[in-house]
Amino acid sequence: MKKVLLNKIRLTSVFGLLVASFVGCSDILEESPSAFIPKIDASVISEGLLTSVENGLYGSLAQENIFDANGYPTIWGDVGVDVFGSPTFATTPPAVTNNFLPSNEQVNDMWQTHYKALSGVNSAIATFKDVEVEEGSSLEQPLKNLLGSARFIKAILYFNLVKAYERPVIANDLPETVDEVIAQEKPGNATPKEVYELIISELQQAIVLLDDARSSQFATKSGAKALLGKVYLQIAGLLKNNVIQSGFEFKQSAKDFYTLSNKMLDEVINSVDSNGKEVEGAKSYALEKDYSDVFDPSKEGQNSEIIFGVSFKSGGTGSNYGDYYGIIGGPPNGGFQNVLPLFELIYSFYDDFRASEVTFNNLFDSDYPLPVSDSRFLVTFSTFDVQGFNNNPGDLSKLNKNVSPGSFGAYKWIKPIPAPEGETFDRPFDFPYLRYSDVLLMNAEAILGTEMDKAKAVEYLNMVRRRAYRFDVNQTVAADSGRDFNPDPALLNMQEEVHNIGGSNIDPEVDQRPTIEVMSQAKQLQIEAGTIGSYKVLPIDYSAMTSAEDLLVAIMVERRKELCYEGHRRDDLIRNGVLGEVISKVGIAGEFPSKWSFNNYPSNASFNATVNNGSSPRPKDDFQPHKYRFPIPQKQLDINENLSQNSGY
Amino acid sequence: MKNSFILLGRLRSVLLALVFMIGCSFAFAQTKTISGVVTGSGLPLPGVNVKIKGGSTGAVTDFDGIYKIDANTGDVLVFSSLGFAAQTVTVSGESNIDINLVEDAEVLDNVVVIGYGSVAKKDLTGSVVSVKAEDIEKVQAVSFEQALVAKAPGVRVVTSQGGPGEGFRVKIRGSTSILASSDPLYVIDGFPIDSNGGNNFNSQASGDLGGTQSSPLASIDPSNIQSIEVLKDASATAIYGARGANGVVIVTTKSGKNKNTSFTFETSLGVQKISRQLDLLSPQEYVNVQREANPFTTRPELAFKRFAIFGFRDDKGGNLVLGDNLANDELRSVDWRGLAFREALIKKHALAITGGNDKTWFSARFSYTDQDGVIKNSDFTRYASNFNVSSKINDRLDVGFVTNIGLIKRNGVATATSSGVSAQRSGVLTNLVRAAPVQANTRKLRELAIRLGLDPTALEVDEYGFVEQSPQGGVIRVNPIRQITETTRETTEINGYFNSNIAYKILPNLEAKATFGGSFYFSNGFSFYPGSFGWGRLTNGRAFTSTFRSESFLNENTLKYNVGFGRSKFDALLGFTQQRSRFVNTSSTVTEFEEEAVNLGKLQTGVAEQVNSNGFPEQGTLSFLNRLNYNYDSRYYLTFTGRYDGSSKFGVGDVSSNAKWGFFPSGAFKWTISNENFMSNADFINNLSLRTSYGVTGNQNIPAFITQVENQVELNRGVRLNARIANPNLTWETTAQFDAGLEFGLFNNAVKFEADFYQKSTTDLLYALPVDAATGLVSSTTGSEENRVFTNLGEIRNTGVELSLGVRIIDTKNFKWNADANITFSQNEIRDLGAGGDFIADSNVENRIDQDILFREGERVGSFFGLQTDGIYRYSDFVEFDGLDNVQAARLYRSGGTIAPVSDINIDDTLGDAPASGYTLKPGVVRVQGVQRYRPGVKKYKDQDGDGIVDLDKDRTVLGNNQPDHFGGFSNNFSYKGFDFSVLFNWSYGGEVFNKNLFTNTFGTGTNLYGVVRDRWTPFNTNTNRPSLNSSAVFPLLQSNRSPADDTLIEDASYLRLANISLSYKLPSEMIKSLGLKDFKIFGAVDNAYLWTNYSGYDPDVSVGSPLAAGIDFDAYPRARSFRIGVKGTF
Repeated sequence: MKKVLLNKIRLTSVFGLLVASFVGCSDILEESPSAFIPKIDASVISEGLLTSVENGLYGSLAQENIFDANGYPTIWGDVGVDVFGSPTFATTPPAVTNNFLPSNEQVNDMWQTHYKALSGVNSAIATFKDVEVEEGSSLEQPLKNLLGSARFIKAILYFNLVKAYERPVIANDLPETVDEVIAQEKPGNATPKEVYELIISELQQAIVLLDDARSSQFATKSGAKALLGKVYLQIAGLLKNNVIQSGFEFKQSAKDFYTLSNKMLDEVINSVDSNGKEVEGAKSYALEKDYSDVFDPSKEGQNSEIIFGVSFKSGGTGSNYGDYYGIIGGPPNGGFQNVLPLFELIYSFYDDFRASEVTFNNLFDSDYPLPVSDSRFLVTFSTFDVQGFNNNPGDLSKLNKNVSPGSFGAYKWIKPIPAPEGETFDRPFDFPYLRYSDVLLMNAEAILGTEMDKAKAVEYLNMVRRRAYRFDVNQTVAADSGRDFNPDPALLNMQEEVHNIGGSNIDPEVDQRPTIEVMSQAKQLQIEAGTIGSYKVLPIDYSAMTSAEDLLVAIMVERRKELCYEGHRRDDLIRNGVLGEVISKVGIAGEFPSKWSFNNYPSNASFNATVNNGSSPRPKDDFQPHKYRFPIPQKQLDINENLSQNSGY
Repeated sequence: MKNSFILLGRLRSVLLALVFMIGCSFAFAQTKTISGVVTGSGLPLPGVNVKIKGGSTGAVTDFDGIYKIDANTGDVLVFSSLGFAAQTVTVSGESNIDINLVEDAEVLDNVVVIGYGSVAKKDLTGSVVSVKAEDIEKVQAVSFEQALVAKAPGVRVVTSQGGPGEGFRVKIRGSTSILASSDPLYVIDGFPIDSNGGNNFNSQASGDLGGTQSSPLASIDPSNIQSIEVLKDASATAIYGARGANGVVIVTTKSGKNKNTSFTFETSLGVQKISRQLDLLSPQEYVNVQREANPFTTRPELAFKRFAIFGFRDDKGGNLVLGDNLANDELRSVDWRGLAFREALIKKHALAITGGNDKTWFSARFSYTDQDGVIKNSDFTRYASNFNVSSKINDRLDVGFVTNIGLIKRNGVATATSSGVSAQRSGVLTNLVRAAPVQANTRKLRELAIRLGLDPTALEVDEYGFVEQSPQGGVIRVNPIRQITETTRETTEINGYFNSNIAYKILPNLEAKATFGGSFYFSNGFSFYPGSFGWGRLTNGRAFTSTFRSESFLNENTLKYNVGFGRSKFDALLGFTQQRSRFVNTSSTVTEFEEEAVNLGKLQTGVAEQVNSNGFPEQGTLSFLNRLNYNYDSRYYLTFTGRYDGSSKFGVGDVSSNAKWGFFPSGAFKWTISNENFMSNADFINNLSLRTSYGVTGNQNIPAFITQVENQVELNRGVRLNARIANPNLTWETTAQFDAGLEFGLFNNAVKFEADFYQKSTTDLLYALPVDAATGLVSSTTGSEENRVFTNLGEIRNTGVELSLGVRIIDTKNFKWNADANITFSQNEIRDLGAGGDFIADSNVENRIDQDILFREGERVGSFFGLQTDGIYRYSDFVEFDGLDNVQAARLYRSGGTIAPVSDINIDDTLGDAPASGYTLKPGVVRVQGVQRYRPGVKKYKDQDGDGIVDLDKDRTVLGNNQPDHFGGFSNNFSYKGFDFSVLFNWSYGGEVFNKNLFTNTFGTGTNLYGVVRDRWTPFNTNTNRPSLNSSAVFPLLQSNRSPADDTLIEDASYLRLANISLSYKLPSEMIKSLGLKDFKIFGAVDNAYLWTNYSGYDPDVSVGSPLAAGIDFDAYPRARSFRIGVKGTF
């Protein structure tokens, strides 16, 4: 009996042990994710971590609805003003007609993604601002770069928000838990003044933290200065033209801000500090000799003109500009040519507007040369498309040269193609956010605002124009005359050669789709066609222009052409209080465009803007003065009872 | 440690003492030994329990069926064995009693598997439906859903598509959740299947076309199933605590019997045919539509636009003849569906060996199923094996081992794609509808190309005469037959469960049991879209591969104790379980293949586009469980169940609480009135019981890691800090359920009735609350990014009544007729969604219509959401058409307003029904926000708020919901001698289907369309509500080229289905014996024999796309009707 009992105990204990061996693994309830970093311990930072976080901040700009083809530059900047006409852009129609409803998805998405990016920026600042590293340690500069970049990017995001929504929210520091988020009081609208002051303060800190050692894909001291100059200029214009009705009372005057802007931009142009002393290691910028070089993909990050570009890197986060803007048939799967330039925009590049001589329904070989000597024309527009090219790689005869101006693609943003290993919407590309010609033109505008001597302003404007007409930037061109364009015989030969490309230079075995070289050759073909002939070129030099008003108009017209598709137009028009005036004349049959968009047409020209714009919606259709800003998205109003709608919506 | 052993020792002494005390009362009786042989169906029956009624003495028959027991005269011996009717014999002096037991399905019926045990049906306090092997055998089920459908009240089986081996969703007593899954917990041979936030069992690579749902049960052959128990009320499911809120489905596979070894084979062969065809335009009608859309014209400026259509006309605009003589300019018609569909075979072979002795018994089963789909090139193959061995080592120790392994292979075609008519990405069913039934005359097309200055060689025509691309360029069309025959889509799944258990009787009435088990699931998907046509052509071929793997380890330890005091009986269960699962998913996409013929076998010959993995989420649960049953005299029953569950998915909580842990209790009471003394005269009542239960269960079906801070890392985008913030208090979704039931059995159980009322209230939903965008917090709840945070909030209520009735109408020796019916009425309501308000989601198929699923307080879960239509715009709504006669109006309409109505231009020289400029609406006629152009013949929407403008914010309403008012099934079984005949119907009444095919296939030109467009609006057929051909081009779209849903796409989902007819014949026993067999049966079955419905699509029992809403039909694989015959024999 005892033995039995013993056996039983033995068995029971074996059984118990077996069970016990599985118990006590309390880590069964633990989670150890490998798909993300659950916590960052700021006390053990490494250079690698700082770099990754910084990359994350820059990446947050290169995102949908922020700086992609569907973001701020397009939706807010260039669509619905005097740049783009009839887009087939899947998501643009409300913006084209300025028909911004509070329920509009784009209006909401842009808001949402900006704050998403801001939460990353704020988190980075909160995580790393109090981290101390030894002076001279290898972490010192990376840490400064990270914090400086964060403040620079924060300024850009709020600058976008305040321009587009006027009364955005200033996001408080991020709460740590979901319960805190639910419990916390939701922030109401900030005044535009509060937002601008925040932007200025962030940029001032960025200027201190940053240096000029890095490429234009990163924030630099000069970049922060240029942006601050831009911010001051915007405030100055808004104040001067009384654009913002409330929440915008500064103790400084408009003129004060023009002066601040001018000083800041001078520092960038002259590579000096606020005392006028040369700064060691400061970057000096210059206009590229050839306008097309500014947008040459091989020079990204190292050309002399881009001050800061938003960098799209292929591999899941690349750019979609080539696909959306790009010419039809361009990138494989892409080239939707979703945004098409307005007729007025195309005409505004012409040397001499002669509507009767150009059949704008369809251009044929015989219509060339086009009467355009502005070298920006053929960088801005593609006068051909490559439909049929994809199936016949290397066969340039498949290029369609008979393209109506109504279908001119945006050649400027063709450059994200080709992406050898890139998928659609995923091409490497730097979107130029700040560049030197913008700085020159902004400074010209600031100088006019300060009521100082206009000579410098004229000089800056002339520099941009000279480059556009292929003169040496610093060469003086006679003020009163244009010039006859006499093509170099060598160019004629070259044209012949390009015409004969027909596949002989291209190895179809290698090139499965149009390479950038092929596209350039095609482009060259068009450039030659477009520049042969003898036309009187308009005055390149504006030195004779004395009226400040005329000069401002000239600067605005120049900005439209020089910075075309770069997302500045609406802000330029708003700053100078002329958005309504411009829009009221866009795309209306028999109406001349406003002088702010088109100042060189002869008075006797007849103008039928609707040839192209036809039945498609026009910007004017839904424009009212309150549309100087977006509505606050309805979705946000529904969630946040402390938010109020912009007046008029 | 030492102390605990002493404690254990003491406990044991006390318990032993107790047992002895109970046993003492019998110690004084005089005894003699009785022995005998027990046989069953004429064979010696080992393992039969022989007991003295009312006593504790018992014996078991040995391998030869022989037993020995000590008994007194007058004692009553009870012989019982699982599967046989118990028999009693009163001892009257003899010492040898031989007994022949009769097999009894009723008895087998009366044991019900519940969580961590089983009980007699009469002692069951909870609401549990049990489907036994013979029920499954009656319908000769090929799939698990066939086995379950229409059998269990309260259990709704929703099929996804009709293809072979397609998945399905089981809903038990409604939907309890929005973002966590509402799927039940499946327990296969004691192994709970963990799901990864409902994302399990999908072998599709991200980015690939179409959705194929799989199910953890697809790998199990229904003929290997012994029983399926569906646990419905809280009393039954609370033992599964945190995973019990959506009900529990327990699948028990067949085990061996302590009988002689037997060998069973089964083989069947069948043919399947598509059960319904859709009404499409005939070839002639198609040509007419094309001619109407693009009339012949002599105006040169229109010529280019008319290019495609020239292939249908002669040089003067005259009609070409339909026929095969191409040289004679006849047009050839192609019956695409005739080429795509087939009569498909279904084969099944199964083998089983069972046997054993009184110590050890086993069962080994293997089955092979090969089911072709009715669409060519699609098939489903399943190899399922099941091995089960149990052994009684000694009186105290039992061990067992069970394993189920299934291998599934599928080949198929892309159906139910997210894309509507992007020609290259459409699913095959959509392409089959849209493929032009008449091929244009390519010789004419080439001539015209030359005339128009186009390259005639750019016209691409395949061997079917199908024009893939016109010289004008544009979209590449996809020939559905090439899509079917040249695309590869193949999936392999391996699914296995292992469970071993060891049970030890510490005392005769105290049993400890431990199980150790594991499961794995592996799937591998491959697809290839060749570069020669369609989607693959855009990228020189496109290949997807994906693997999904999950593994799970389980340990369960239980202690069972039962004791009785007089008329009171206690039955207690204590347990501890732990389970940990891991999910790994990797996939890649490759394009730009060097050589088309080398593809999936050598992916490196292409360019890798995307490699994905999902971060290896792991999850674990730790649980303590207990159950106490109390039974007083079989009259009053009480059950208390509780489970204390810990889950890795939840937060660590704050100081005072740990959100990981939850307690889920339940209680049940049953009163068996028929056992009361006062009922003793009512002999005709065999059973009359009332029962009620209340309890709380949970749901944790959300993805892992959701409570943790996430600093997101992405390639080329660095780290994004605080992409998600911590959520330490996130905890269980809880469902409180009340159930009240009545059951009775009359006339020797010839009439059995059961009724249940339930109300389930789910609170603290695992739901994503909208937050201010300024927080920057984004979660992708439905695929799109929204500012939401996961939290516990909201309430959903499910209420229902379930009735079932079974009647043995005729029960004679030779002829039997049984009828069973069940019906379920259910309601579902979202009671609270917190401060967030409506939640609108996308259905994810035909994604041109999106934001079409609504969750709103006061509405049912997963409602269809959109605009109501109000007919179409008519001439009289426009200024321009006032005072015009029909011909003038038509001329104006078809010229797009550019030709004066009174012009002498021929009406054929107009644009036809091409999209053109709009006309001016009269004041007061409803307009749509953001839409500039209106034309007659375009859908008109109802302006719900009367502000004159239809906008999406204010004018969308609930259009329907898939949930039926009632559903159920009824069956009749007739048996006459060896013949057995059964007929099964099921139905669903009320509820709607969202038929997105109607959006895709009733508009546009250049493709074939549904037959309903015959009645379309044309300038000469104005008295109709069917919109014009081209109205989609001017359709009011949401932003981004998308359209709201509207009520024309919503159809009644009611149906009555003759789901199964089976006839079997069992050979007479003499004949069987003469063949050297134990059993032999011939059977035949028809599945999906007939469907009565008003639904215009293939089948209203359909559900593709997002799991958030059932009942969406788009491009779904049609369901087949099948005829099968087979034999089953046992050696």
